[in-house]
Amino acid sequence: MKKIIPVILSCVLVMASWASTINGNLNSENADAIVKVKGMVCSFCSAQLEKFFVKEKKLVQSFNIDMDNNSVYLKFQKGQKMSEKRISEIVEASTKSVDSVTYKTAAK
Amino acid sequence: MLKIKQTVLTLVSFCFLASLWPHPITFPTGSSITIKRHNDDNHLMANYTWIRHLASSLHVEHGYDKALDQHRYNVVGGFNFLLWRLNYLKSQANAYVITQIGYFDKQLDSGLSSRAAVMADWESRRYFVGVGADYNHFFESNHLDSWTAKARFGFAPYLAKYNQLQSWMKVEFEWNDSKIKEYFVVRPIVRFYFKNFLWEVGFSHRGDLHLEFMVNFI
Repeated sequence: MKKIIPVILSCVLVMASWASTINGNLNSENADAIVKVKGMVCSFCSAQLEKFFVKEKKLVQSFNIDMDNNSVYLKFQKGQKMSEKRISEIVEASTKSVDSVTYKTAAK
Repeated sequence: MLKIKQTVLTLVSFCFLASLWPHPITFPTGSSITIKRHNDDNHLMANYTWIRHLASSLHVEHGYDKALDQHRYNVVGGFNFLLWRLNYLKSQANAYVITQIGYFDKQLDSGLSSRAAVMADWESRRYFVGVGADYNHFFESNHLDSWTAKARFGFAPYLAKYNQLQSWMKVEFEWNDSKIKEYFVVRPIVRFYFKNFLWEVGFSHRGDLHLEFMVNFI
């Protein structure tokens, strides 16, 4: 029982940290960047995008995946900006393709 | 010119025949496990994707022949290749080749076995079309060799948002040809995705149950 509790707590912490970077309220109006993604046809196969953007916490404060508009909305950390090249690398790693990247704010 | 090339490749991909389980390659470092009950056979499939175009795969199959009261086991491992993936804004097309080798055991027959499959699909959020074929070869028991061809057509009754339950209504046509059995079945299937889980249930027109459950480790 003593071993189970830390395991459960660790799982909860991991899940909490995972959830902290997904922001369902992020949209084309309040995002710092809009990434149009090609090949994003189901959430089952788009979950890889989530995995990769979660790892980019130094640059990405939060993100949202909008299946209806084939878009990923990014909110950068204060004073940060993810380059188009890096965004493309992440999207390509998830076996999708970038259609376009539009920056909405004058982030550094 | 690029669009013409992509269109031609997509059309050519439909000429491939394939065995239509979920995509046999996910993404680099991704893995999946699938368990399936199909035509009275049990399947366990696992794969690990090394790079965008290559995954290792393992397929364990167990069948039971009621008429002969015989169990059959086939364990094969090998590689899955993504020939191409065409990403469009509203759809995606894929073509795969699977090559596996292993060992089978069916009471009086046992020995090396191999399996080769080709599959191709095109899907949007609303529609799915897939075709494929696989060939099972048993080196020392040729009479057990068989090939199966499948075609699947699907329709999503609603467009699910990210991380919402997604449902599909599909119909599968399956042809099997071998020296010991031949059949053609039509199988309506309902398929669901939720997060990294996929499951589907169907019945062939002969009444055979089809169950499939897949976990995608991301």
